[in-house]
Amino acid sequence: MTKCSQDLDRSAIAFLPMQDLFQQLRRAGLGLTIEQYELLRQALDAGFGLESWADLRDVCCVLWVKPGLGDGLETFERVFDAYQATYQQHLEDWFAKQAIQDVESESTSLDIPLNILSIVPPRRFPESAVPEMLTETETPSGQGIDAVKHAQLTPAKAKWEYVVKVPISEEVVRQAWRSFRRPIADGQLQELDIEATVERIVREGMFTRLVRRPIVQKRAELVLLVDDSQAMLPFAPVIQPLVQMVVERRIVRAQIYRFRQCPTDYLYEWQRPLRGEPLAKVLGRLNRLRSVVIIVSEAGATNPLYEDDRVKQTGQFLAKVLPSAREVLWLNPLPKDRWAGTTAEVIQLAIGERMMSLELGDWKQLIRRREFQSEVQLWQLMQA
Amino acid sequence: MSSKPSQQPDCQYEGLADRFQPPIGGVNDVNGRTYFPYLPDPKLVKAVNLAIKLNRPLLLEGEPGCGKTRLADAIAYEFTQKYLTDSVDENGKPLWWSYYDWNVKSVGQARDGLYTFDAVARLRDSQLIGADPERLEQYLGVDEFKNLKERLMDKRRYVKLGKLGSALAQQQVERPIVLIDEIDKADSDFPNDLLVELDRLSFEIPETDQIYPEPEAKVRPRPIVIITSNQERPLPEPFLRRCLYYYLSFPEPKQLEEIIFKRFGEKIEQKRKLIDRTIEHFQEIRDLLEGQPGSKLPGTSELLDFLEVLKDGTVEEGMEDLRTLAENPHLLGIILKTQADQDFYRREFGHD
Repeated sequence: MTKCSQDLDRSAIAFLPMQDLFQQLRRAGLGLTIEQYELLRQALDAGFGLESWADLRDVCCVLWVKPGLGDGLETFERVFDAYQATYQQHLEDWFAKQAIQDVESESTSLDIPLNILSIVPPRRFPESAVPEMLTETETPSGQGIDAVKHAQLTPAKAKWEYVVKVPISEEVVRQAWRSFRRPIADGQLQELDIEATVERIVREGMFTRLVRRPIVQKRAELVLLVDDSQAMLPFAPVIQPLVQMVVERRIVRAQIYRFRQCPTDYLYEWQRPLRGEPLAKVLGRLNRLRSVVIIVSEAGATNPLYEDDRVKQTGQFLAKVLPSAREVLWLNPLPKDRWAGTTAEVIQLAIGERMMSLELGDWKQLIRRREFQSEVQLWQLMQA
Repeated sequence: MSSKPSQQPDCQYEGLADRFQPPIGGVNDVNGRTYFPYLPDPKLVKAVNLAIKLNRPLLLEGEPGCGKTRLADAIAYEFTQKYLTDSVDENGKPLWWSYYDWNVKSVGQARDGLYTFDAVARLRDSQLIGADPERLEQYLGVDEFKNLKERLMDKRRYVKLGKLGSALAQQQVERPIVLIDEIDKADSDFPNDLLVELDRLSFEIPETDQIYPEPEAKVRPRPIVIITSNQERPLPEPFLRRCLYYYLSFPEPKQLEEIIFKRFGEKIEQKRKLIDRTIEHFQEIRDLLEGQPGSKLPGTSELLDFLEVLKDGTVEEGMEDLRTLAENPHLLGIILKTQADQDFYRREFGHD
C-alpha cells in the first residue's frame, strides 16, 4: 500500500525527523532558535500539523517564518519542498515494505516502529537540500558576490540555479538603521516633567503650574543617494537590499534618489528616473537633528585616472549637504585597497571615516559608531 | 439561564461555523461594539488555535482594510456564543466574553497598556491637604475631605489599569482576548517593552509595589493576544521570535463575494450582477495602483463601505454609479483616500 503525499498517515508525520528540517532551515538563513524548535514540538504534541504535509507546512510557516528574519517565505518554501521530497520517498518505501511484511506475517498492525530513523537512508544534504557554495567568483570589488547553487525541490529533477549572495543582508541593513535612530526631544507633543515640576514647587514654596517638556522620541530620516552611472552597474546586486528596503518602505521616513557620478543641481527620483528634483529643494527638507544622508557611489575608484572636475563637484555638494544633515555617510562598494591613487582616495581623505566600504567589518563599525568627530577638510576638495 | 462557567473552557476557534457567526448586518455588545460576520481562511483558523494552545501572541500583518482587527471581534463573538450560552451577570444581563482592545497611538508607551499612575493627581491632593486643611474641609465638605485623605494614604487608588493590564488582572476563568491594534504606529521600542509581560503574563507596578496577577490569586488568566500591524515600520526581532505570524492577503473574488453576502444578506441577493461588476472594477483599481509609489490599495473594508452606499439603489443606478465613478468624488473618496490616487484613477478611467 503506497501512500500519496496528501494521504500521509497521521502517525507517520509524528515520526519525521523535525530536527533535520529545523537545521536545514537554519543553514538556509532562517534565524531560528532552539525555543522555536521547541514550539514546533509542542504544537505537534498538541496534535497540530499531523494531518498532511500541507498541514505540517502551515504550522511550521506560522511558527517559524517571520518578516525580516532571514530570507523569509521563499527560503522556507524551497527548503520545505526539498525536505518533503526527500522524506516522502523514504516514507513511501517504508510503507511499501511494511505492506509486504504485513501480508507475509498476516499482521494487521500499522504502527510505525520507533526505529524508523534507522530505515531512513543517510541524510543527503547538503547535496540535495541545503544551499551550498559552488564557486566563489572574485568580483572587481572583491566583495564576495558569490555564485551560490542550490538544488531544487525534487532530488530526481534537481537543477542548478545561481543566486547572488551579498555581504550586506537585509538584517545587517536593519541593524544599522536601528543604530541611526536616536532619542530626540523635538516636536509639538509634550509630556509632564515631574522632576522639573517638583523642583519648581521646592523653589516657589507652592504648586503653581506643571512643567512640560517635548516628548523624547527615537527618530531618524534617511535620504539615500545612489550613483547609477555605468561604473556602478556591477554593484547593483550588492546595494539591492538597502535600496529594496527603502523602496518597499521597510525603512520608513526614507527617500531615495539617483544621480550620475556626483550630485549636482538635480537629483532624480529612484522609481521615476526622468523626474528631476532640484538639489536645493531636497536639501531644504533635511533636518539637522534627524536627517541621515547616505551616498552610495564608487567615487571614481573604478577609474585609475584622477578626475579633477569630479573632486571639485563633490566638494561643492558636500559643502551644501554637511551643514544640513545630522550625518552624512558615503558607502563605496569597492574595497578600501582599491581607493588608493584614485579620486576616491582624495574624497576619503577629506571626509575621513564617513566613507566606508561595503565589507561586513565596516558595517559593524557603522553600527557601533558614535557621531564622527573628525573635521571634514572640504578645503582639500574645493582647492583640488 | 446560568451564571458564569466555573471551569475553564477549552477555547477552540472554528471560524466558519454558521451558528457562531453574528447575524447579517451585525450585532452590538454591552459596550456598543459591533460584531459583523467574519469569514476567515482555514489556515488563519489553524494559526489562531495554535496561538491559543501555545500561549503565544498571534501577529497579523496585511494591507490596511483586509480584516486584521475584525478577527479578534470574531473570536470574542464565537466564544461568547459557544461557551457563555445563556450566561448572565448579577444584574441578569447576558454575558460577553472578556475582550480588551488596545488601540496603540503613535506617542503611546508600552506601559500605558498595563497601567498609568496619576502622579499629578497625587501631587495635587497633597498640595490641597498641605496648604490649609481646615478651609479645604469647609470647602469640600466632611465626606469629600475624608475621601481625599483616604485616597492620599492609599497610593493604589491613583493606579488605572490599561487594557492588557486589566486582562492580566482579571479574576475570571475564561481566557480574555486582548487585541493590540496597529502596534507599528508606536515607536520601535514599544514591542520590545512588552516582551517580559507577554512572556510571563504578569506585570509589576513599582509605584505601589503591586504585582498582577496577585500572587495569592486563584485564577491566573492566560490572555489570547492578537496583535495587528500595517507594516508601516519593521518590528524588532526579539518580539517577532515570540509571536506566531500570519499574513492576511486580500481575498480572492469568490471569497469577497461570500463576505459581501454574509455582510448584507438578502438586501443584496438580487443584485448579483452589480456585485460581480463591483468586485471586477475593484480588482481593476487595485491592479492599476499596484506598484505605484505612495499609493494606498483599497481593502475589503473600503469595498464594504462602498457597497453600503450602493446597496439601497437599483442595479441600474449602481451600474451607472460605477460607470461614472471618476466624476463622483463623494463615491470615489470611499475607495481611494488620496488625491494622487484619485487623479490617477481619473486619468485611467475618466470619460474626458
